[in-house]
Amino acid sequence: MTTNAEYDQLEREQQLKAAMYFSIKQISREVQDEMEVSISPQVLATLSESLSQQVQCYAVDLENFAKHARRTNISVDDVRLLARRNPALLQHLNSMIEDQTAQKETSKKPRAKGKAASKNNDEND
Amino acid sequence: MEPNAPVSFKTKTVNESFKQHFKDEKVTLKGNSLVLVSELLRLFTKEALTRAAHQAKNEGDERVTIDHLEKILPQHGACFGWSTLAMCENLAAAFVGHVRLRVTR
Repeated sequence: MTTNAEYDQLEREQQLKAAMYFSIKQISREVQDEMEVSISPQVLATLSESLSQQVQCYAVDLENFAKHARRTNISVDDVRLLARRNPALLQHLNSMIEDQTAQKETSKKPRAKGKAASKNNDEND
Repeated sequence: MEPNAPVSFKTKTVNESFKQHFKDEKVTLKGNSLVLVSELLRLFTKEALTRAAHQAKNEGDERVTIDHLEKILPQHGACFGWSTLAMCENLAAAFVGHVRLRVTR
């Protein structure tokens, strides 16, 4: 039984690694086109290994950050804390967050307009 | 998805791989934070590949090999929060050694 479960777990891990490898491959194509070089598959294999280490580091950190704030869901601020040591990265994340909030506000606007309109009506009454 | 948007990791994949490492099952990663984490991983990959490509070009090679990756990995790791340089070097050596072993076999 346990070996079966372990096997399933292993298979799942490998599926995920394969999915990650696929994306790495796509990104490598992008870089190949931009830089006009060819990238050997060994580089991609090594990179995917180091990426899974990176995921593990990030996961442990994020979980602890959220726990420290007594939350169970990982918030945007936790992710920002993750990038605190790299100012350029942090700035990029901040601009992405701004975009996200801007998108949210534009999707919310119609409702706000509706409210404002009803207020005006009240005043007119 | 827009056709011009850069290739990134699928958020579902990222979510699943993070879930594996959470000790507490209640902890969730979703929405905007999930998108940000995917972006972090995309940049990690892209940065490493670009640095390796630059290294190869500086050495006058057209093909990027693990030797180039090995040279840039410590510095690259430092940018993405690997705490000590010793750790980076160990990790870098371990990864490259790992791949070499597999290749020679």
